[in-house]
Amino acid sequence: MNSVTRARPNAAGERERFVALYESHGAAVLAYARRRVGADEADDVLAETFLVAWRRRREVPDDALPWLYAVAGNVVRNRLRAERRRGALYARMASTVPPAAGEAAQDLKLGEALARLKAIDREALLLTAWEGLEPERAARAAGCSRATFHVRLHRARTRLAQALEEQR
Amino acid sequence: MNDVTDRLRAANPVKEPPALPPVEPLLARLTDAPPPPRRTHRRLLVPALVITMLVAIVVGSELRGPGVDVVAEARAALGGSGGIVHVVAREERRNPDGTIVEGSGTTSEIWSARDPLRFRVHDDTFEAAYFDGVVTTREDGKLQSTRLDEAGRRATEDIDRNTGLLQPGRDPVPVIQRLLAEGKLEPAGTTDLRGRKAQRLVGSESAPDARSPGVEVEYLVDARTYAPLQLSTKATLSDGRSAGASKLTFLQYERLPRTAANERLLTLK
Repeated sequence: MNSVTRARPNAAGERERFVALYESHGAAVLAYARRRVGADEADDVLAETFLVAWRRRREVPDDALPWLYAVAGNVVRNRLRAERRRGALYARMASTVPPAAGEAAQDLKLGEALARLKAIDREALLLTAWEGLEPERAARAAGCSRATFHVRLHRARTRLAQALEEQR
Repeated sequence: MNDVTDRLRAANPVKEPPALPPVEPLLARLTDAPPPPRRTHRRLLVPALVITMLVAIVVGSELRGPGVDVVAEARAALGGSGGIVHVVAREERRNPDGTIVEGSGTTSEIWSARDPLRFRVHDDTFEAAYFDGVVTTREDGKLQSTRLDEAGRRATEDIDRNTGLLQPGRDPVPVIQRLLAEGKLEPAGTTDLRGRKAQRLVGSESAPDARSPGVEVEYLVDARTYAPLQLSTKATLSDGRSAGASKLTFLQYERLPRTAANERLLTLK
């Protein structure tokens, strides 16, 4: 068996694993992206994230979702940096909230308060509140230790509450 | 769960998983080229000293090789390895277009000591201390303590070996010493920094993939004592575009004696 024919079964297996990874976690990654860049760009973030996952397929851990969130976060940050519209996006977050009675104006304030947080603090909040990750997995997604994540989360909650209080 | 978290959850703009696009267009974009060798995860640029205290899990190695003696001499000149290290640093981050990142420009202060490890850090609004596996924070006058699990404790206790190229850690001097020994930093001549003769130490981290930036690092240390003066990082994408930069200016670096009064600087009361 030459090297070419020997390589093909491996490549096929890797593609099957990639498809399984996509089907298992693609929707969660897409939701993550939509929460941060809106629906129009989220599909691109999803594709870029899984292209990175393919290129780095030997690094994908068994618990892949936090790792994928970390990659998706980098993709999102690169886009936001380039377009310099992070603040507007987080403010826009509120406008996409279902208009439950009395909530729209309040959540516009929440969007503004979120935009005032440091990016790493905001991400700590959103990984737990929106992505629903427990601290250990959220820390992996944020690329930090659990201790650091706890500190960030505590600080973020406090500062967000403070910012909301100041808006009253 | 508190009100803020509940309110955030209520504001979640995507409450249900969206429909997943078909995978076929993505498969058409894959190449079967073997992936690059596995590498350790590179830390993000996190310039705030408060955060760098508790992050960076990169395997360290024993101290050896050229450059170490120089730093050992510097350590002696700075007051040896004992005592309480006191660092004041101002961080500044820039966007790719050169503008200042919103919220950057904070000044942080840290006191730390070894055997056993304890430290206290604070910036304008936040304060945290570590001792014996417990992190205590104070914000708006309110104290809160968290006992770390064993992994978190080990990572924190090992901070001097875990701090990587992009971060100064608790005490930049042993970090620089180790990075020189590992060959991750190299002397690159001297320069003048605000009228002070400074030794340049440079290093770099290559991009882990095509979309991520590589990072160039420059430490400026006092040419005589090796006291840290400035840590600059510059991130560049593979096509040459800037991906941002950061500068940490060390406003103060000193080693205080372990007096009862100075020991109190290490704790939150």
